[in-house]
Amino acid sequence: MDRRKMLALLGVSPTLVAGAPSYARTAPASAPSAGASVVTDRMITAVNPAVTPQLPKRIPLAPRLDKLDGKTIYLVDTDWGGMGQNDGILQEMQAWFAEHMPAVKTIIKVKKGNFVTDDPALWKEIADAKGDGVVLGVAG
Amino acid sequence: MPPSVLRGYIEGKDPATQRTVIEEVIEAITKPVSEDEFTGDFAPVSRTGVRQTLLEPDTEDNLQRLFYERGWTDGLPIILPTEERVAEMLAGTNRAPDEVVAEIFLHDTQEYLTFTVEMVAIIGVMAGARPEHLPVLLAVASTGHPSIPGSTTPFACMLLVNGPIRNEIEMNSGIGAFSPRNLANSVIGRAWTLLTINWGYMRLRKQFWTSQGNPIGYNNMCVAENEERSAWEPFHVQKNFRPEESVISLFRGWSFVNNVVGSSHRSVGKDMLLQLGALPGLFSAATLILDPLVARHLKENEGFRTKLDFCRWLSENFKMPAGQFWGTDLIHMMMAPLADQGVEPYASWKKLPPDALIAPYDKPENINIVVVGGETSPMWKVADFAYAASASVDKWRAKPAADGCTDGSCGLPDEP
Repeated sequence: MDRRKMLALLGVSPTLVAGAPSYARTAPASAPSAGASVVTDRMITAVNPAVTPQLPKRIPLAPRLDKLDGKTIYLVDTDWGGMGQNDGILQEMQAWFAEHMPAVKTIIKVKKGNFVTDDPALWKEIADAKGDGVVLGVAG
Repeated sequence: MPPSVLRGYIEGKDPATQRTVIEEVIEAITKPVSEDEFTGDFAPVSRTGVRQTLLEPDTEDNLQRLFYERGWTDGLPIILPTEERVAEMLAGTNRAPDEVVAEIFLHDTQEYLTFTVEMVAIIGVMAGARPEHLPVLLAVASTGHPSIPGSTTPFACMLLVNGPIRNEIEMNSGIGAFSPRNLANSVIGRAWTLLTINWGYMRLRKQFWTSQGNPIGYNNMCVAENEERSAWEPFHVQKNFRPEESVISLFRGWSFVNNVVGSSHRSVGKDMLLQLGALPGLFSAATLILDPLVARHLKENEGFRTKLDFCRWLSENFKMPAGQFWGTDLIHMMMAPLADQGVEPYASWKKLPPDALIAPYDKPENINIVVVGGETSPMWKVADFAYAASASVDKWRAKPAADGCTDGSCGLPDEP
């Protein structure tokens, strides 16, 4: 089927489609383009649109670890992408530590709920077990 | 994914920083916390809370460049907000310039900010809005909802206006309402994104992470409902606002599917069921945008007296294999935890064999219907948008409502 017949079946006038570029020719050739500078050196004073963000009071972060040797690091799956999507890469990270930093003990845990929900029970479990640090992943 | 590939990610470069991922992980748990760890880079504001009200005088070209380079625009030229223009914009409301409209909290950067009437007016000027548009912009801003939320996903939003103000400010709800032609639709939609930018949501790798982005963000499908030609009650009335009240409603999702031509081989409902199958069905949310012809057909020829009647039909008749439903990452991520907590019907669905059919749009009240269009053809759009919020426009008005046009095509310039 040729294009004209197909357009006609769709209820579209082939003439209308073919004529669409003619709109672009209605502007005189000498007209300035939309992006051209038509303003000279007149000085303008504009209002500053920027707002001032402020930092809320927050709980201070725990001091970071001075070294990883002899520490227990939890690798926590946030469940991004659905359950069972991230444990593979955390297992591989655990294997990397075993090969390259064997003095670091790693434990994999899966956080309950989805990636935006809290899991206080897991944080308590890690604290009670005297975990030294947490790697929280994976985001997407 | 094979372990070798996963190992490659761990030992490979972080695409955002070009540094080795495992080195970054180790550094993150061993590098001492620095004083400025949480500071944003929202130049040129100071962190003292003192805002420089006026910028240094300059030429228009230089100021356009400055606004762009500071990250205050959407990339398109803006109307420069001079004191005179902002004052003129403020005439569109009876509220004091320093009244706080919204308090915004930015999760990723742990910042909060307060946004005043004057700040919304500045954004309105930049977007090309007129004073009569300001009450709508204030209502949008009052929700605190960004049009481009911080996410790696390509979020998209829709801004719907109901009530008398649609016609007073000559919004288009009729022919080509979603197309780039009507001034009010264009500038109000754009202003929502400029608000979002100035709230700080578009700072690269601070709040702005979307990998591909979404072109809907240019004007957020800003549109009015064609109440005059709709067969059903307006959307804001469904949300318990009075018909004579002017209201904005916001929707959020990612995608929509257009119907093209019509549905002479299947019923409208069956076509929509097929299109719903292309969307995830997250928490039973969908938004149908129907031309008045379609709404009238559904009511008069198929017997759906209300929007909710039709939503119930969709809810009951849309089926999907449980394996397909749970196999969508978004669904599994957001809804499988509910199944594990025993929340029904998800807990029961999770136990089904993969080929068992379920009805994922189980909450018909989460399916939204909006009537928009010029009745040149029985078209519709099916979106995965969830309803997010509504806010009254009237409290921000400078003057009470007035009568307007009745055919839904206000604000379209006449053909030459």
